[in-house]
Amino acid sequence: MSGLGIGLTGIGAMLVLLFLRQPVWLTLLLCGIVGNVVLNSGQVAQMVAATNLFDTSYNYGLSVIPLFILMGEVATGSRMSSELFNAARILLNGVRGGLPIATIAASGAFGAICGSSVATAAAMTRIALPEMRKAGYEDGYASASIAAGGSLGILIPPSIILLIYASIAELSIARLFAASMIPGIILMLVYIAVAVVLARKAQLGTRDAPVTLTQRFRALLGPWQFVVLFVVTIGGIYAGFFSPNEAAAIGAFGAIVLGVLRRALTLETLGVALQRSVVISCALFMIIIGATVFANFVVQTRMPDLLLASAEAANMSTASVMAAIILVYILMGCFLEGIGMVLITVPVFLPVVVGFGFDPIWFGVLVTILVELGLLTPPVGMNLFIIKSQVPDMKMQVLYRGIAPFLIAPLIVIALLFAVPEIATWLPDRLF
Amino acid sequence: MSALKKTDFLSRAGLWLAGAALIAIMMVIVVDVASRHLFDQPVRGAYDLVSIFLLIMIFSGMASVIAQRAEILIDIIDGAIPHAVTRALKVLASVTTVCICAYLLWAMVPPAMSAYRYGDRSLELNLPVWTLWVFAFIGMGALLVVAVARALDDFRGTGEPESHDR
Repeated sequence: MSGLGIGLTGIGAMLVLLFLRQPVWLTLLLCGIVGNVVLNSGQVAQMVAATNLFDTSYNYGLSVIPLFILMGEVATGSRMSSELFNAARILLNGVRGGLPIATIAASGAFGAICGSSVATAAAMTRIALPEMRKAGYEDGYASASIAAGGSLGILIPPSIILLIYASIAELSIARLFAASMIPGIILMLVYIAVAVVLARKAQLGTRDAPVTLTQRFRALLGPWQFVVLFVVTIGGIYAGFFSPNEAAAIGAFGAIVLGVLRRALTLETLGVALQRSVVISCALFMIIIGATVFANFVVQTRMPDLLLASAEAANMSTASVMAAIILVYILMGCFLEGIGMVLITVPVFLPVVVGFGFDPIWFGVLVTILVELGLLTPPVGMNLFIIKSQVPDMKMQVLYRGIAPFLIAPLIVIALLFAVPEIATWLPDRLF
Repeated sequence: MSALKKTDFLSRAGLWLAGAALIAIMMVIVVDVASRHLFDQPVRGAYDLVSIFLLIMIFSGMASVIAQRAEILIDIIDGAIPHAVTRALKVLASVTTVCICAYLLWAMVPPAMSAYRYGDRSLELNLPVWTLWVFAFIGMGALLVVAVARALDDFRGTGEPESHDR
């Protein structure tokens, strides 16, 4: 069997195992090891598995992942997300669709210190959904605005997906964070536009109670600790004061200090945040270890090179290659979880995309938006599941119907990325 | 009593050790940055310390991922297949996990031995690398024990449901 045949068989086996509900880390590792045995020998497979396991765990650069997760968990535990939502709610009082807009804006802001879409959606469901139900918004619309807003967590830096992409593609985390900033803000604005357009039909209840100018001003000052954390961490990276690892450590430390000073963080909640951070981080590292072994197998099959050569030999245009790749991501996003999707696809697609002359940083932003879309697309839209798990009385059909109009927003931003690639490349080029 | 309950102390101890390692990573970097900016004096060996604590965190924390069934998986077919098939697939995953953990433990021996034989040392602190492999072996051993306990529970049908709260 040719290298391409072995590679395709490996990917096919991996997809089958994933659909047979085998854990992502296990599937990647198993397929990577078996693939290496077939291509080389048992001894090589053994060496590749052991060294990748050790080297991934003993890697200074990857310490950024648990540190940003810790920062997000501490911020969630110290109720920063609810303060952000309250501030946005008061500021937008009286505006049509004010609560959904506040939810999306607060989600985008919380994503800027949290880095996880699922955590953002979970926090906002607890905080914003009861308020929106009280204000008379339809369930589908209200939950869709939470799911859409929550998905911003992985695009607006710091982003766990971008950290993982940076580690596979061996790119600068700081450049990737800078690249995703403008598309993240644009996507948030497009989500808000969709929410405003839909608000007229979706609000069945009464208007908000009036709010004074003083209350609005106080609300503006409310989430000061979020501003401090964002300026210190992400601002510190952009200003060149800190490396991403340093910014993540200082952000986590700052979140703990702020939580303690504001008496929003007890020893117990800190312990819970710490344990959750460890379990989430270790689950991610297990997938990364599996993915590095699997990527090693894929690279040895020379599949990316063969795909690139086949596309060139077939005289495929750049547009059709990218359209095919985007279609694969959208289809996979309907069924697969985001991190696994990135780890499985990037080693295969990145060399092809770079071969066709695209910027890998730009592609990282595109992949992240596609993963974000995957968090919202039925049947497996992780953010929809998060809402459903917290609001069992809401039917999945209501969620699916509600999210449909919001799906246009990431597609618009993807089209913009193609039309004006500078929205992703301009800021990193200016800063670094 | 489920087998997983009997190994609870192992995953709990690992979880606390991993938590301590994560705090240590954070503090080493914070002190290093503060010391560098305030006194123009970086912490010697900060790079090595962070890498070592990360290794300790990962190898100590993986057993908890297995014990809490916190692995990421795609359960889209759950509603479409009979409960017995779902259970069989769960047992398959648990047994495969045991096999892979045992394989990794065995695969780690040659590189660890080679690190010992050739006297590999860490970049800054000049620590012998084989000592880090010892941590890796202890963590992987604990992971294997917890994985076996979970497989036993799944086989007997005494296991707890998976956690999908992330």
